[in-house]
Amino acid sequence: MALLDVENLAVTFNTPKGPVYAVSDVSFSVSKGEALGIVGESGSGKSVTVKSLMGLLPRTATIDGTAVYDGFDAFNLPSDRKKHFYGVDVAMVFQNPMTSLNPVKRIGAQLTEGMRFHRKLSREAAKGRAIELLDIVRIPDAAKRLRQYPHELSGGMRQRVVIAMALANDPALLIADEPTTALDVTVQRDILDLLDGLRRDLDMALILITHDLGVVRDRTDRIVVMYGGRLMETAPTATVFSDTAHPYTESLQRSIPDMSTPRGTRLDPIPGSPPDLAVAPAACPFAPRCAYATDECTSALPPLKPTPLSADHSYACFHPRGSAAELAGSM
Amino acid sequence: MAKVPGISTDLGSNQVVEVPADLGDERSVARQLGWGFWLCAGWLALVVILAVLAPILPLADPNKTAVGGRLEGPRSGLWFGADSTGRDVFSLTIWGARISLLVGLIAIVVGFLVGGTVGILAGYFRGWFDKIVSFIFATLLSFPALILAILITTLLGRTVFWISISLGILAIAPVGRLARAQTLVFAEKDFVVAARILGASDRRILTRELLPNVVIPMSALALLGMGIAIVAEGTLAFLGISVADGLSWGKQIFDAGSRATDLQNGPHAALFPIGVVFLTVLALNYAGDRLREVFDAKELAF
Repeated sequence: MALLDVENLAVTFNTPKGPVYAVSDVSFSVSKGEALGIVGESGSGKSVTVKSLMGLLPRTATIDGTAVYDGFDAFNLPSDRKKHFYGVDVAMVFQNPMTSLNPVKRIGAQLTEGMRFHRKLSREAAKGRAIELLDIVRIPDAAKRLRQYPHELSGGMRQRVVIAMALANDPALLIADEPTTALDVTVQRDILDLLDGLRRDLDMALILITHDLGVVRDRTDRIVVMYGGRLMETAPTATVFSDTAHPYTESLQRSIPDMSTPRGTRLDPIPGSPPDLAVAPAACPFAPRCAYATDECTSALPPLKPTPLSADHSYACFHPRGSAAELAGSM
Repeated sequence: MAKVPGISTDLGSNQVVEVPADLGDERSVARQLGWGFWLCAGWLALVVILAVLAPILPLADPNKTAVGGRLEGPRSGLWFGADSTGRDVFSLTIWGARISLLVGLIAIVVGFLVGGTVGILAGYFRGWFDKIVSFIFATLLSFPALILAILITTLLGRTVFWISISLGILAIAPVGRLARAQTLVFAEKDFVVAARILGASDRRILTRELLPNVVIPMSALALLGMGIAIVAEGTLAFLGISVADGLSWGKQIFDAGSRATDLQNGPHAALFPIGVVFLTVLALNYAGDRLREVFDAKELAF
């Protein structure tokens, strides 16, 4: 049974210049202990999607659709559940560890705050748990760290502390919004592996948001590819790479550098720029940048449909690639 | 970051976590502030102690005339000399410090309590409240400061309290604007968002997350502002509208310096209090700057 079930999510921002359709018609689900990767470039709606779940959108946003978490409507939580939902059921790791810690408070105070609030732990018990958490995220010399300020730690260390804070109340679902974008490349892998290991050890579901297909490749069970606020393709991770259906996913893959690529080969960037979300969705958002686009693509909205091979693999395209194309042709 | 031998810890998952070397925090904050800061702090402490202890110090009565000769120069026992009526300038300066420092302190406390609170609330809650507050700040700033101070003191009376309040009102707008701007910067940061996700109330976010961050850059302004208030009181005194009874540095300088012949024959009567005001304001400014620099370094680190 799915832990989180999002159906037909749509988020519209009402700006003075008119509505901006940030997310339209997005559905996905996360099971207990499962890792879901949401992939897309800037402005694809991936952050807005999770922010809507966390209740972090400004008041100018209108949310349509449903999100059911563990039998509760996440958009209309009963007030007694609300306190439990944020921080206990669902926790979040932000993009920039430089801004997600309060610079004037000691690590220990920041770590224990959440559990003392939610679990009414005593100061001593909370401190013990904080040391345990720092051990879990592999920060050595934990007792000493508790007395330090964020500026005394490196970026990677700080992100570990942020992760420890998110884990404080044993969340069933951890949302990591580009958790490594602000970090050194050498540290990125450590943090991603840490998140992956924690998910397995603690049997927690993980939503990993990234613009880098390479990041989710070995660390997720499913991938959702978003573009222009819409869902382009969703499939088990292996299938996304072995039987890519959507031209956008294909372009994303081509823009990842690979160890086996011969030297001197130029990466294949996607031409053009992201779509204007102020236009009501009426055509495939990727059509202007797509090599396979036809008149059909610019005049109608491709529906999300499963591939003939697998009901678990859906795409939204009139001219799919891979097995979807072959089988569609033969039918 | 250099790998520090001995504290690289292998945690058995073939993942080596490097412990960052302590970033100079072993060096105490006292050392970081430097000797200049402590010199200024020492001067301020001296002035404050002398001012507080004035009634029990063996000083000549500052109002008593003919303690020394008319415009007599400095000598032992009459360290700053005497003014045109023979009053002890040293004693006048110390007694004057009481009111000048008090005015500066009350003014800045009023400015910070009102301006700081309103500014932080405006920066945090935004919306119509912020619009109204920003408009009031802009209105206050567009008033010529001196005219406003003259207006308030003439209307409300020339007591220490009302003069401090009027100078405090002048401080509200600049202090409030800084507090609002700082709050805007920090209210957007993820740690505030995270606190909100964790279920923290507005009040908790304001006092526990935002206030400590806003107070640090503002502490420097408090010292600078106190210096400005002391000088402003002097300006009011020079216009003859400072405290009606009682002594202040401003009044003392006005008394000693407003007649050209007095200034020519015995410049020391004006120069000593001017020197003390100068050193005090300089010390406040320098100490404020150093505090901001040292504590801002922590901000730069992230």
